[in-house]
Amino acid sequence: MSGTMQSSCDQGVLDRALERQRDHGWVTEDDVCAIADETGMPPSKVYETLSFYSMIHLAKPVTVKVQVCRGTSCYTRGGMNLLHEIERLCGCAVGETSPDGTYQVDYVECIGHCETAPNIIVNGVLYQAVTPDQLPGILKEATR
Amino acid sequence: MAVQETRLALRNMGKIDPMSIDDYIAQGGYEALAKARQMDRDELISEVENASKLRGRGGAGFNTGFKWSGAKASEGDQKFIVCNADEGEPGTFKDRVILENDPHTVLEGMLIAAYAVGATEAIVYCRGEYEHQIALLRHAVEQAEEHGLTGDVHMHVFSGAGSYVCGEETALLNSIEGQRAEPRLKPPYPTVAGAFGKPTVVNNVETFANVPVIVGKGAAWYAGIGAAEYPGTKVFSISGDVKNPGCYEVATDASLNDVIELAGGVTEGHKIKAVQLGGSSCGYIKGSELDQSVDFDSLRRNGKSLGSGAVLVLNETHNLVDQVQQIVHFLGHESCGKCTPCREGLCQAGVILDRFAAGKGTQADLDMLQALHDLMATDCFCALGQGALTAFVSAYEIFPEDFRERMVN
Amino acid sequence: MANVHVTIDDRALEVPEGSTILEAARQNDIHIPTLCYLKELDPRASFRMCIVEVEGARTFMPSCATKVREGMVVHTNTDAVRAKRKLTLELIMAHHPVDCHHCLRIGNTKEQDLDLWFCEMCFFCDCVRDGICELQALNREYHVDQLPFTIEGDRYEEDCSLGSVTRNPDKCIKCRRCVDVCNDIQTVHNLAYIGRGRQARVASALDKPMAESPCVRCGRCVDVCPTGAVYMQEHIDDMLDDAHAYGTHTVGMVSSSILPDLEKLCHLESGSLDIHRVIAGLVKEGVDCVVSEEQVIGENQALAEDLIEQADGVAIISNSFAVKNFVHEYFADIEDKVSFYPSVQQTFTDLAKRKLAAEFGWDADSVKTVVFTAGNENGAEAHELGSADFSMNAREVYRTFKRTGVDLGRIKPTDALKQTRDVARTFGAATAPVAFNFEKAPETMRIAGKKVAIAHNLGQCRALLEGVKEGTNEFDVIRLCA
Repeated sequence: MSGTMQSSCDQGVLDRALERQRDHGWVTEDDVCAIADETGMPPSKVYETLSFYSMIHLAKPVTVKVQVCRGTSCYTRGGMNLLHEIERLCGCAVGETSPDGTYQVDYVECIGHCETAPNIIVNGVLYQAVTPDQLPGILKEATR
Repeated sequence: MAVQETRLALRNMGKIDPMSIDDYIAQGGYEALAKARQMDRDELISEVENASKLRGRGGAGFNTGFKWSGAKASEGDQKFIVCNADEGEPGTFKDRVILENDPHTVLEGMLIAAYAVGATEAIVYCRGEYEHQIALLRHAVEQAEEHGLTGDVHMHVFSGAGSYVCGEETALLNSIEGQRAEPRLKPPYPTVAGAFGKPTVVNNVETFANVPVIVGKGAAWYAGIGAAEYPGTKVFSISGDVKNPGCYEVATDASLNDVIELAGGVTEGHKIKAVQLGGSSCGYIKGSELDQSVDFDSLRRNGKSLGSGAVLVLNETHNLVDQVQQIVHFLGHESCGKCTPCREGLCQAGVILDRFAAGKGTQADLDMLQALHDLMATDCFCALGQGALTAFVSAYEIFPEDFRERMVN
Repeated sequence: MANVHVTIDDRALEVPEGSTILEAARQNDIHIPTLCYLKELDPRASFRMCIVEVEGARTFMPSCATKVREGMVVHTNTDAVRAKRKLTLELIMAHHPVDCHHCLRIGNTKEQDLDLWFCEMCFFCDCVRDGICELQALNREYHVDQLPFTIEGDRYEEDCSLGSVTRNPDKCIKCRRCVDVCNDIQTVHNLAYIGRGRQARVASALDKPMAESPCVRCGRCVDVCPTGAVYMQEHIDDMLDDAHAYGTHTVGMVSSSILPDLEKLCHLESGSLDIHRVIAGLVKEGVDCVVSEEQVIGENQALAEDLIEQADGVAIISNSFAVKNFVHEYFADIEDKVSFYPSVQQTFTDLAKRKLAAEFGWDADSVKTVVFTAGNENGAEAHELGSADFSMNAREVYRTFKRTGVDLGRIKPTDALKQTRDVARTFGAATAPVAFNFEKAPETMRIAGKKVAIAHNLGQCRALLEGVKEGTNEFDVIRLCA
């Protein structure tokens, strides 16, 4: 314990994690194991600790958030077709995050641009009168 | 007669560059440390404990010197001084203001405490959201080391990473040790077995900021300010519906009205419906009852609490159901998940309050909230759970019509 | 140590200084319900079932973690205390899957519905702990019936990835006994309590499936779980199918290690259950022939004896599946210094398929072996290495008995099949079956001039192996058990 104590006393587990997170956006499994090595704690314990704190991300943050409007107008004008195409392109169902963590697909309630339905919002940017063939371009743009 | 601010903890605010130790020294900084180090340790502790009667500014109002003498008396090859800068209480930002204006006063207070109890390790645990303040603190520690002021004390700045319950001192100690920030069983108290099992003093930022003043100007001088049993000043964080929200430091015999007046009073065209004093775990005070002293003991006698000194002013447009709903969801999010009543009780209270917010509350819901409060107040592991529904109970007691408005029929 | 005077429930008591309220109460037959408390582990005081009223205290106190003081006055069973315990249970039940609690076989009254004896007759329910669940027992004690909350089960995925040790987080009440056993006693450092608030849950290391975790399948988490949140995958139906099938010959071995648990499950007096009654029960439910572990152990101990004799320097021996995994995970560099020999289960299966099959004139392939033992690691070994066709713990035995109508209280004992082989056993004490304990230090003894250490848990194994690694080991013979 005393060996561990000296090293943890110089720098906390949280500081070690935050430093790595600042570097690459989240705390990877390798980071957890590296912190475990540095502090002499088991990896499961480091993970347990880090999972407690809301500022620490133990999963890759979502980079692209796609919201499909489910207002009646968008629904009427083919919003659901768009949704299915988006689900296929992103590799995840609505309400979920794609396995690699890049995309998150969700609904958004009517956004009040019904005259240009169907609408989607990608990372806060509104796209109006979207057709399925525009989607690959829009999604690619968002990952930049 | 308008009350004036009395700045002790904030004495250097606006007068110095927080990045410059020379500025701090030019204002008489670190003189108190030099003076303390000439004093006998027991005498120094007695000055703080008995003469100045300095009490913790974090919320519990515990005698600071008593903690010091406890830690000094405890056996340990190593002792810790920990500064609780995990200021997470909603509506509280006084520690931030102190740290970003005058980080050295906190370090000086810690070094004096370290000398008094014989500690060689000093840690500032600052909430992770205060990135700028952490950088300032680290810079200040470096400067103090360069100036040879730290002596044999190793000073460290630890960052939190988003957890409200770290404000509870034993949870904070667990966090320093790299554990989940869950509160510990007491006893043993931190002064006996704290950080890494060693005797530890945990004090709040504002408390440490007062220490150099007490040592510098003398405990007797300090004890002459403010209320007799809770002397000195208190820094209030005022937010909500006031003209000039901000931090105001007043002698502890001021009234709540004075404090609000310092902030310019309620916003134009409104009147104060209620004030939540102390933070989310504290009750509300009616707008018509603000003429009471803000010192810890007289508030307690009136069934109120000073808490962290947060003053949230609410005008007549607010329905307190929404306030309580926010608080319960916040605390539910911050519950550590250890004890059943807090973890599950806050979840159910949240569900019930969501019903009220949607105008679908029932009498059975009110009864259940009261039952949950009764359970949590006695059964929860720590103060977070014990006080989680205090705001509800207080709001319902003072403004039952707010709840009736949101009930079915 | 000095005694202090306390008053608990109006009884003036004199109890040793330093004891907790709970200890003081239990020593004096005062019942305080507990849920997270396990006397061998440090109290977490997290479930808040054991709270009591202490006069003068601002809040109620957890009796498991509050030390008695001179003159203390305690009330363990006031209306307020009982009401709060009940509400705590109701809060838990609001999120607990109710496949045991809401019985399909409705009795005449709700009380009857929840009555222990009535309930145990029924097998509609899915929960492996039904009838033996600590939470269920408390729900009965406190008459938790209609819940005052919206009932909403948690929706976590069950982790069956190991095929043996299985976790169902929905049934977890967050007492963290499993986490503490895994970390503090076994030092496997797999299970952890991650997240916070309502989202907090027990997970295996780095929140991966159990199969990708450092789990060594010692199964101690299963032993301490008060509910059905961690359990061994059951094989009751498959086993009974084989037992009843024509052309298949089931051969069983019973270890006396299941007796204490079985007694508890069957509400028999401690120490009253004779292994021959269990054997009779197993024969009645269709197992073709049954031997007791004692009759196989000689064969197994002979293997260990040989290893000790052949050892060059310190003899580190183990026949434990979990130890093998543990050494591989944490002491790979000295793995070759540990001599592994077959488990008793493996020895039995070899014996059954070779010798017994020939003796009875059965085709060796038609023989299925069933081992009844308290060691959960045997279940995992059977699953992963096939060292037996089925390996069942006391709970499974109990459930097969219930299913086939065997009543241990009434059945007449039967002799087991005699298979004794006498072997000269010098190190018998070191090679005999070892029972798990929660101690920090291993058992030590001296046999034939040699210093012997026996590890009763993996934490002790770790300490002994570290001694070997660092050259501070002082023992000649080390037996590692999980």
